[in-house]
Amino acid sequence: MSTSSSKLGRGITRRNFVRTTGAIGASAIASNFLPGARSASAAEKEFDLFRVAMWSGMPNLDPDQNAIRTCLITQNWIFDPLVWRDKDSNELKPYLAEEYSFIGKNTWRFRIREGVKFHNGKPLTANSVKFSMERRMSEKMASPHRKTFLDIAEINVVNQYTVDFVCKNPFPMLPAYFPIFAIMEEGYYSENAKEHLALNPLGSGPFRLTEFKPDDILRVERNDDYWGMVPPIKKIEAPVVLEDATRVASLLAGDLHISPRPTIEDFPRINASGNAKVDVKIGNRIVLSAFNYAMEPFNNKKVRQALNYAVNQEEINEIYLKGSGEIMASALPSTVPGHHPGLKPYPYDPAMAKSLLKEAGFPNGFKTRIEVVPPWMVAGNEVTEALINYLREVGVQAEMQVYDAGTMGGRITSRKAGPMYMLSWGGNSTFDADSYLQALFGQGAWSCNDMPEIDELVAQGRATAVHEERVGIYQKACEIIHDEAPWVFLHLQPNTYGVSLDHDWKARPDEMIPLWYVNKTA
Amino acid sequence: METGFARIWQEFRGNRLAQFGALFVTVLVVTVVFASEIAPHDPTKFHLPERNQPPVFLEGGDWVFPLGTDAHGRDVLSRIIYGARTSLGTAAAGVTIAVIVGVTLGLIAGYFGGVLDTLIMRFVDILLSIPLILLALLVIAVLGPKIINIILVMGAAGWIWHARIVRGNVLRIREEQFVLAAVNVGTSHFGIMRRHLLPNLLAPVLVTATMQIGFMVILESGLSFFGITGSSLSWGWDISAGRKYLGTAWWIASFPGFAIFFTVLSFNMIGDFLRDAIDPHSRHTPVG
Repeated sequence: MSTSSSKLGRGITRRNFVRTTGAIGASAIASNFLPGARSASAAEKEFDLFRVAMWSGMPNLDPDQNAIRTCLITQNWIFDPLVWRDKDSNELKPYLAEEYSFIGKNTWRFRIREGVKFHNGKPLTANSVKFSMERRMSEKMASPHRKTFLDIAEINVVNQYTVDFVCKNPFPMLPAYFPIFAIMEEGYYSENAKEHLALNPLGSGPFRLTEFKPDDILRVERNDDYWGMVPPIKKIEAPVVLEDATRVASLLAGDLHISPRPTIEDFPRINASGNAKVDVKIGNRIVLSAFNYAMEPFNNKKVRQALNYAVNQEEINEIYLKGSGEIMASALPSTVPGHHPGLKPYPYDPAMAKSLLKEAGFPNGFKTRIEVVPPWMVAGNEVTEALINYLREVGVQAEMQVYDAGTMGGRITSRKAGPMYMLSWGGNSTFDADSYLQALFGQGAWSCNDMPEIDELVAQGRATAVHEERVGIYQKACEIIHDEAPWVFLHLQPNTYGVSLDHDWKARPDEMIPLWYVNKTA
Repeated sequence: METGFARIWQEFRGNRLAQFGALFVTVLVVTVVFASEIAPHDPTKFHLPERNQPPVFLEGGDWVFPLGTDAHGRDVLSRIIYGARTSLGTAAAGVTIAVIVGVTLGLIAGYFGGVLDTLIMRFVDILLSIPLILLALLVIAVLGPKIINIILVMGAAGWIWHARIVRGNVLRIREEQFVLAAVNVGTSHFGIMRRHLLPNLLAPVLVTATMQIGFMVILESGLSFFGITGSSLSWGWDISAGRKYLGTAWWIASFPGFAIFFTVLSFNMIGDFLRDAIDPHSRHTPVG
């Protein structure tokens, strides 16, 4: 069916369109629509069942009880966000919000689409948006996203379909945080207990929940009353398959339509299989090895810099990612405004590393520990072992410690991780510098360093709505971060998938896997 | 048992499986002791241009890396040789502790009987009902992932094997004439245990200890597969790291797997043989 891009036709619902076809039939947007939705031939092009594996656990599907990537991906099937990234341009586009703008006085105004219904039949209005954000910001809920939105002072419902976010500063990146901001139904989410909501998500999205077994499998079915394009997929199954080899084998056996993060060594095998191919897109997920400033000897800048000189980033990227990543000089990847193109990555210079270690008082190196959750990054084990090998060559004996995701997350957010720990960060799909700098430095939730100067710059970045000014502020932050070296800078890793050949889904920079626009092609 | 060793040797010469087991274990012990002389490479040294190179008998392999290389170009053979140190060393140390604790407590329980016996044997029952892998995970979670902790877990959980065997044998032996005679002439408890009981316990304990080494090698491999033993140079770890290359470089995970397989098999065959040889009756006891 050629309505693949119909959802780009913002401003009209399918039903409204059918009703008003004559009136707007000439508009360029509307030409994306094919009236008469589901013809007989279209039905043949539907998937009865579409299977996507998750490479890591999915413990909880309450959008305010987790910030885990696999959950963000699957929640997005069930919930609608206000804004969304376009699948082709990756630009922020209205979604539930028909339009949104900064109306001055630190206020963002969103006008919500009319006639949208939640899966329980209740209407989605401005009040739902207000409720959802207040829930996210509430101390009682303790959402992992809470800190990000504390600069919102009040949320005003202007009328049934218009809502204002009045902030303490211009908060210019507020909409960028909204693709993962799920709109919830007030009645359902205030009447039920947290434990129930963790397992029984209810939204207004293109798919509704059928069955959810935490860390095991999620089943959803098509929402036939969806306000937008009704997806060509009737049912989705998302099993958690932790083993890399198993995910690849399932893909090649025809059991999966999308198999995220295949082992890079398997790429040729997948491409040669005849029923699947590899799809790779550079996105927003950076990989780093962080230092805990509270642990010796990483309170010493010379030591931190020395370790950056000791590691051959380029070789790691070439060998373990087959050159598919981009090596980094500071905190922000090239895909995020504020990235500093003038900064050059630390060169591989073991002699320099040794002399810096000597200056720092460690002529014979020292012993330390690197904590890691391998599935957090592409070739996580290999990259960590390679890092340890480089450190050993300059006399630093690092022992590797494997943790599970839950434990490790807790160690970092309680600032107990380290002395070194591996981390990957996707910036919550915002493509905004704020999501990196705010979370990973100074007082940030995922920081084990001590950089009040970055906290200050984050506040400055939120205080101005002028894009160029913000870029300048973030570039300054990048310079400081490069010099202070709170991490061993590694690389921006690609989003990698094995996909079967019978559909047209493509890898996205934002790491999400929306499926409403997927077409059956074979 | 006057002709004990001569008879065991006679049996051994006729038992192919036991010979294989003994040969393999001997080779293993030699490699563990002389690992640095035998291993062709430093097991932690990267050879990035030769990463994932197949073993010598496959196309693309060569004698420089007889069993191929892993994802970092490290020599698989050298890693197996050094990995034996971790796997076998940990298991042997754990079993040693288990034997010392188990024999001591088994002796006490069997010899003195009464409340001591009840206490010790009920404790054995409790330990028996806790899955060993769970106990190991608990200890690691509390005490941290270090090899010494693994050894302690093996000792702390493995002693019950020996305690049960020893107690049973002591119950039997302590009613023998020579023990009763020793009691009558006023030999101390300690003296009776040392001179009359212990020598008679050597054979059964040797059998359980041999079997237990194989069991502990598997436990160590299982734990290091999860990366929680504090060592990244062991068979289990290499299987874990190599498993995602099973489709492209099967040798990384498979050869350490074979090493575990043959090690455990060898110890079990030796144990089986010893049990049969030391207690000729057991073999002829009808099953069921």
